[in-house]
Formats: sequence, C-alpha cells, structure tokens
Amino acid sequence: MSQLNDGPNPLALADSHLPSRPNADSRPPTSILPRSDTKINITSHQISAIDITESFTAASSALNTGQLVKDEYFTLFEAVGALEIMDSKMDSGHLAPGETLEDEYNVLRNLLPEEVIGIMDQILCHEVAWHIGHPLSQTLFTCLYVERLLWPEPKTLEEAQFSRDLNSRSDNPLLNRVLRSYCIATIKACHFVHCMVTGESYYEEEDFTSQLYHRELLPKVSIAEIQTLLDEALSYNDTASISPESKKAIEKRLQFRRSILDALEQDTFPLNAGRTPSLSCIPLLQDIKASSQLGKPVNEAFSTKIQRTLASSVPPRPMVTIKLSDALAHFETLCNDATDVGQILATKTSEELSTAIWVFMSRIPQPSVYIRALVQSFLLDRETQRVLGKTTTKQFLFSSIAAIVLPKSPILEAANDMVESATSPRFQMARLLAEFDGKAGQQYINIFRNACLNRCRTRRTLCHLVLDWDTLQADAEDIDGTLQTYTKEKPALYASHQPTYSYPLSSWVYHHKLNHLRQIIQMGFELSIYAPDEISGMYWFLSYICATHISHIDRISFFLERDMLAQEALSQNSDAPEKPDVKDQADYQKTLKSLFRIYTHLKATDAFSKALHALHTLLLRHKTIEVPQRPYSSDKLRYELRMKPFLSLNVPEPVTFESFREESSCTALSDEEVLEEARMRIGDAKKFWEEVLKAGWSAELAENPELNRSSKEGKTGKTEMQKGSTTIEGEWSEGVKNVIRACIATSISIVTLKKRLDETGGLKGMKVMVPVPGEKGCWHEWWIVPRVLTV
Amino acid sequence: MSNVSYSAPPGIRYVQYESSKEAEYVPKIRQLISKDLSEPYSIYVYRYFLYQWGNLCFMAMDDEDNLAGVVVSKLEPHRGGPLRGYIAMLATKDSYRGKGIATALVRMALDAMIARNADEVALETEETNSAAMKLYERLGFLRSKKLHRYYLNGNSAYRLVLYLKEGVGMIPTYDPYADLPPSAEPLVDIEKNKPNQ
Repeated sequence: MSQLNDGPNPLALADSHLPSRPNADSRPPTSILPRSDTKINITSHQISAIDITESFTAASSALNTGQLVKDEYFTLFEAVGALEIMDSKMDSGHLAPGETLEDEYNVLRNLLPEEVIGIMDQILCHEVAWHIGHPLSQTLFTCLYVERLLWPEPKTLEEAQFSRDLNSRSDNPLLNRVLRSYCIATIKACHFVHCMVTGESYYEEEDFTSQLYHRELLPKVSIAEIQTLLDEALSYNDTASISPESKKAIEKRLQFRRSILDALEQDTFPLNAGRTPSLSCIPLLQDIKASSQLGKPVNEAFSTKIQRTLASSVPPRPMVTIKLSDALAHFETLCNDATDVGQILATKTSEELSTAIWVFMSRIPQPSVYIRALVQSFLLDRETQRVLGKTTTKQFLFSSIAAIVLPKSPILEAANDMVESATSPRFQMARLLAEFDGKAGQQYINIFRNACLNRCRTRRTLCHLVLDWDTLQADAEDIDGTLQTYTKEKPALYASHQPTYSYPLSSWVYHHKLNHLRQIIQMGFELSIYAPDEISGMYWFLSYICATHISHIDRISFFLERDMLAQEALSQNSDAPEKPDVKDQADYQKTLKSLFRIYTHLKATDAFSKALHALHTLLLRHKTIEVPQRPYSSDKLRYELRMKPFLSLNVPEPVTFESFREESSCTALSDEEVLEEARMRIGDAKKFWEEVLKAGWSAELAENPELNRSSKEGKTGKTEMQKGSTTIEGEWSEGVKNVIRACIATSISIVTLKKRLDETGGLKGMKVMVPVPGEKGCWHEWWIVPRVLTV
Repeated sequence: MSNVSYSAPPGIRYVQYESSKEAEYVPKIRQLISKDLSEPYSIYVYRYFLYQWGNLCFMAMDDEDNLAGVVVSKLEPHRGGPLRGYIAMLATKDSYRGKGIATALVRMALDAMIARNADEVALETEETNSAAMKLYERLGFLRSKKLHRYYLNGNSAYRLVLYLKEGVGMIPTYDPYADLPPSAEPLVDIEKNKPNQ
C-alpha cells in the first residue's frame, strides 16, 4: 500500500469495505476493486497508482482452491504449536454442552476441619508433582484457593485474600487463618524452590518446568510475615472447638510449613555449616502421614478450567495427581538429601569432592532437581565466585593440579603472582599458569556441575565436553613446552629411547579426559544404551581406556619420582643454596600414594572389564546372546555410531574398526582360553576391588583417620547409619561391595559355563539372562553380569 | 522407488501416499495416529510432513480401504550436515498388530530414504515401548542416547539412530550449543508424542 501524505485516497476508502477476516474459501470481493479497464484518474502529485487487477487475478488463479502453499518460515515448530479451535482436545476454551466457562466453586464457603485437612494434603501432593517436573498449570495452580490468592497479583501480603472484595470476606478462621496461611506458606516455599532451580543449570521440561504463567510466587513477602501468619493460625487452632485429632492434624501441617520454609530459606544463605533444620521436618511428615485418613479431599476446589487463563496456547492437559504417601516420601528424601549435602561441603580436596558428588548423585532415586541445584549453588557461588565458599576457581584448579602432577613445584607457587619483574622466570610462569587458568578453570568446575544434572544429561554433556578437553590438552601441551624453558626441566628417558619431558599441565588434562571417557562408557551401561550383543565390545573398549589411563598414571608417577629423588639428592648436598624441606618429601609421598589409589581403582576396573569382555564374547560365540539380523546396518556402521564421541579425539588415538573387531572378538583364542582369561581376570578383579574397599573413599582420611568428620562413627568404631540418612562413606563402601558381589556372581557364571564346556564341548542347553540395570538381579548398574542357568 | 516389495498379510495391501488423494487419506491417517497420542496434532502437522515428504509416507489398507497402518517421515539435512531421515509417526490398528505391518511400513520408508541418498535415520521412542524398540533394533538401529523425561507423562525416551553410509559421524554440523541459523531445526521436537507401535 502506498503511503498517504494528505488528501483523500479512493483506495483507502475502498479498503474499509473489506471484511476483516475473509473465510479461507472465499474469493476476494470483486465489486469494490476497480475493473481492469477502468482508468485510474488521480491527480495528486504524491500518489502514483498502479492497476494490479490483472496480475493479481493471474496470481490468485495459479492456485486451486484448497491447494497448499508452504512458506519457508512455517517450520515444524509452527505446525506443532497450532491449535484447532473448538476441538475439545486442543482448545482449552471449548465448552462441552452445559459446561460453564468458569468454576462455580465458592472459595468462601465454610469448610469443615476435615475438609481443610484434605485440601492441605491435596495441595501438598500438587506441590511435589511440580517438584518432580510437572508444570504449575497441571498441579498447584489448579487449586482455586491458590488462584484466588495470586490473581490479580497482590502487592502486599494483606492483599492476598480469597476474596478481594472487602464486603464479601468470610469470617471463618479455618478458612482465613488456617487454610490461607497454609496456602501462602506453600506458595512461598515454591518461590524458594523456583529461584534455586532457575538460578542454576537445569533442563527445561526435562528436570523442571519453570513457567509461572505471569503470576508471581509472593517474592516480596518476607518470611517473617508468613511465619507470623502461621503462628496466628496455630494459636487459633490451639483454642478452636474442633476434635482433638483434627486439631493435632492441622497443627502438624502448619508446623511442617513453618519448618520447611525455614529450611529453604537457610539454603539461600552463604555457606552454612550447620545444616540441620530440614531434619526437623521429618517427624512432622510422619505425623501428617499418620493423620492423613482424617482428611476429606475436596475435589471441587481443584480445576483444570484455570488452565484457560494460564496457558491457552497449548492444548488442555490433565491434572497431575500423585499419592500422598509418595508426596510425603519425596519430602522426606528431600530433607535427608539436603542434610547430606553438608557432607559434600565438608570435603577437603577436589578428589574427595569428586567422589562425594558422584556417590551422592548416583543415589537411586536421584536427588531431586532442587537438591541438585542446591549443590551447584555451593559448588560455585554466583556472587562470590567461590568454590564451596572457600577458594577461587583458580585456586581450586591449582590445588587439583598440585594433587595429581605438581605437589612441589615452582610453577604453582602463589608467590609467583607477586613477582613484578617481567624478565623473571617466575613472572613468566605466573603468566602461563594464568593463561592455563583462563582456558581450564571454568571447564574444570563444570565437570562438577555436570555431575549434578540428570543422569542422561550428565552422559550427553560428557560426550560433548571431551572434545573441548581434547583441545585443552593440545593447548596445555603448548604451555608446558614454554614452561620447560623457565623451569629448565631436564628431559628423561621414559618408555622409549627418546628423551621426554614431564608435561605436567597436559598430563593433568589427559588424566581427567580419560576419566570422562571411562564415565561415558560406564554410564552407557547404567542407562541401558548398549544392545546385549554390544556389551562384549564395550567392556573391551572400557578395558582399553583403563589400560591407557594406567600407562598415563605410570608416566606421571615416573616423573614425580624423578623429581622426588632429585629433591632428596639436593637436600643431602650440604652445599646446596636452597635446602628443600623434609616436608617436600612428604608432599611427594602423599601425591604418589594418591596416584596409587587411582591406579588401584583403574586396575580393578580394568580386570573386571576384561573378565566380562571374555565372558560376553564366549556367550556371543555360542549364540546364547541374541544377535538381531539388522538388514539395514553393518558392523562397521554401527561401530562408527557407537564410537562417535571418541572418534574425533586426537588423544587417545581412535581405534579402527578392524582393530576393534580383531581384539574384541578374540578370534585367536579357543573357548577354553577365553574362559580361562575370564577366570583369571575375575580373580584379579576381586582382589583389586577388595584393595579399593580397604583404601577407603578418601585419601585424606586414609592418611589421617582421626579426621573422620563425615562418618557418623560411634565409639565402638562401627558406622552408625541414622534412619534415612546415610554417610558418603557408607554409600561409597556399599557401592564397592556391590561391585565385589558382581565379581562373585561373575565367578559363578564362569564356573557354570566351564563345567558345561568341559562336559560337552559346547554351551548347548544353557540359558543366559542379561540383567537390566536398576532391576533386581543387577548388583551394580555399571557391571552387566550375565546369569547362566542350565535349562 | 524401491524394487523390494514386502508381502502383506491377507486382506492388506501397501500403498504409497499421493498428494492428490490428500482429502481421502489425511483424515484416515489422523484418526489412526491420534488414537495413540495423549495430545492431538493439528492438521498442520500432518500437512507439514505430507506436503513436503509425501513420498516417504506409506500406508497399509484393507480391502474396504480402511487404514490398518501408516508411517510418516521426513528427510532433510541435520544441522547443516548429514542428510537425516526422521520417522515422525508410526501406528498400526489394534486388530492388525503382530502381523509385521509396522515393520514393513518402516522398511518402505527406509528404502525410500536410501533411494534418496539419506546418510542416516533417527527417531525417538518411549522407554516403555519395547515393541517399537525391538522393531527398530532388529532392523539395525542402535540407541545413541537416553532422553530424560522426554514425554509429557514424564517417561524417558531413547534416540535410535541408523547410519547408512560410512563417514557420517564425522560430517560437521552446527554446534548444538551455538545459535542456530533460522533455517535450521525447530526448537520443539514433535516426537514427544510418538505413538505406540
């Protein structure tokens, strides 16, 4: 349309006669368009009129009625988001015959005590349903009482009433004090949860649905105000003329809200060592459970009609209901998990932290999204940028490097940062280390954050991360090369005839990268990613990664020992200008012991992998594990898909399909040899895992048992496990014991197979059950031990 | 067109979708698919696939022209990289299950994709849908990843992938974490409501 500056325009007048929304099938009204042979006579200089009738008619005849045209910007997103009005399954505004638009439930009606209890419990169930990932529109926001309090948006706590109209308020204290305070306290608790989760890394619609539908969860109302409300409600309840059972039931529910609100608020304070408040909720939860049968649910107080005003651009979705017993169990787990987080905070080294987080996040069921966000918030505080409230990310990184590769080195000395002379080697070292921190600092802390995601995401993210760590390793190698010139490191002969250097930073990177690769493979078992006939190959590959890692640990140890001996020689030389401390030797020893722990764990993993590889290979050979036909695929193509995370890496060098096939199928070995390999390796495995168990979960504690701060050991020395709450140590030990049980189960399978093989030369008549992680019969989700039965 | 024809159970014939028969076919397809969905798709979703990739849609019809089964899929570059086939919908009428119809339909879709130079094929299926998973795994698909709480009901899913050519895994794609160009994949995956086989 041409721009009009002034003067009347005949086209403008014509426009206003067009219907505002033409039907899809209608032709444009022709009566108001000038006919093509009409001359257009406009005399204004600012208007230039063009008769487009012919071209318009030609263009519109190019399509048949009902013919489809797809615009390039009409994507699948648009298609999926479309709703058909008046389709009851898609249109939340569609009313069934006789159905009213709004709910007719009277929120001001007098409630019986039993009904108040019932509604409170229903609200609690909805709150938990939201915690576990369902949207508010299907859970808490279906409650008419909650809706009334939050919409229109209350500017003060006083405005948050069931009726905004001052003239039509109810004077029933059960409603005004008890239910109202309960609702408000619940909403505020949700506010805390919402802030915590959305403040950290989570996946929308996977872990949690953060949509608030333009409502707010009373963010500006203070806890103090709400506690006052709850106190007033409790006071009233105390003196109310209702049955003693109902009185107690209401009291416990109000107290629970008080308690949980305190606990959630505490979680937002800077690191608080005393994390006990949430445990006081647990007896209250038990009381609520005990009195649940007193509650009379009021289903009319909950409605899906509210969805119309909340989320009208999506189809109507059902209300999510969960059982009260499940909801209470969720809260109990939440409180225990929150308490146990204290043990993560008490860890002293990055190795301890890593073990503690991993053990904690491997709990089944996995800690809820709130708890996982809570741990992330402590891992790296957004405001202070401190790790666990103590160190900077740079210090955290350096302490980890020191613990693995550089226990005593001029490279890491903090004092280097103070050196001002640019020509000083220490200045240069500080500069290079700062450069490394710039590349690695964030990536390192992200490893810990990643462990706080849901298990599927943790594995998926690891698959992406390893590529970054591959690049980091190359960058670190460059920095190592430059550092050598400043430390004047002498090369050594390690493994080959070529002298080589220690490469501390890239060694540190490689160590962690190999951890990631191992975890990717093992989590693959946990999440049942691998087909039954892939398991043999994956255990072979796991063993390959472990062997690579063991060699790497060996290399690191070699250079550490060299440095340690050099230091020792220096200290014995009384002419030396700088006499190294006795303490330095202790630092080296500590690191070497730490490396030995890692080494033992890798040997254990490697041995068990080899045993299971051999066992699964034998079963495959005798076709006791099903192998699908797979007409559209080939071994090589499937290998490429399965190995995708690893094939783009520079180090370790990708294993070719041909090597993989050759090595993992043991074609050169007879059945007896394969089984013998399995038998020997499982013997090694059991031995190594027992050593792992003995070494304990923490190097620090192994060194200093008197520091046993996270174990709840009683005077008898036996670990006391409080009901519901477990120690990291206890869980870690139980995990290792489960691996040992899996080793024993493997031995049994091997013995059974050997017997049949010796007797018949084959495995006919043997039935194999491959356990599913998470189900009964699987001792540990990372070790798939086939159960062999004689049919 | 594929040279292979799959034998149909008695009373069933396999038919390729034709856009000229949209008015006849689409309502039937909608009816069969929507039975298994917790949330229906609008007409646009069907149009989106059938308009662009009608030649990747195959149906099983009985003697009375009732729909016994259908597969709907697409084929386009994935994140600027490999040509990826995607099986969007698959459904078999209850009374016709267990006769290999779904497998045949999937095979026809795969054959058509291969004929059109597909590098790989992907889909998501619900963790609890063991029948669907077995179907695809028997054909050669592997689970490439698990997707936590992928569906509206909170159930998790597996992504199943089939590589058709060597070197596919190394074809560069847009960084999934970087901003996608406007023409790249949409934000929402339709297959959150993938029907049961």
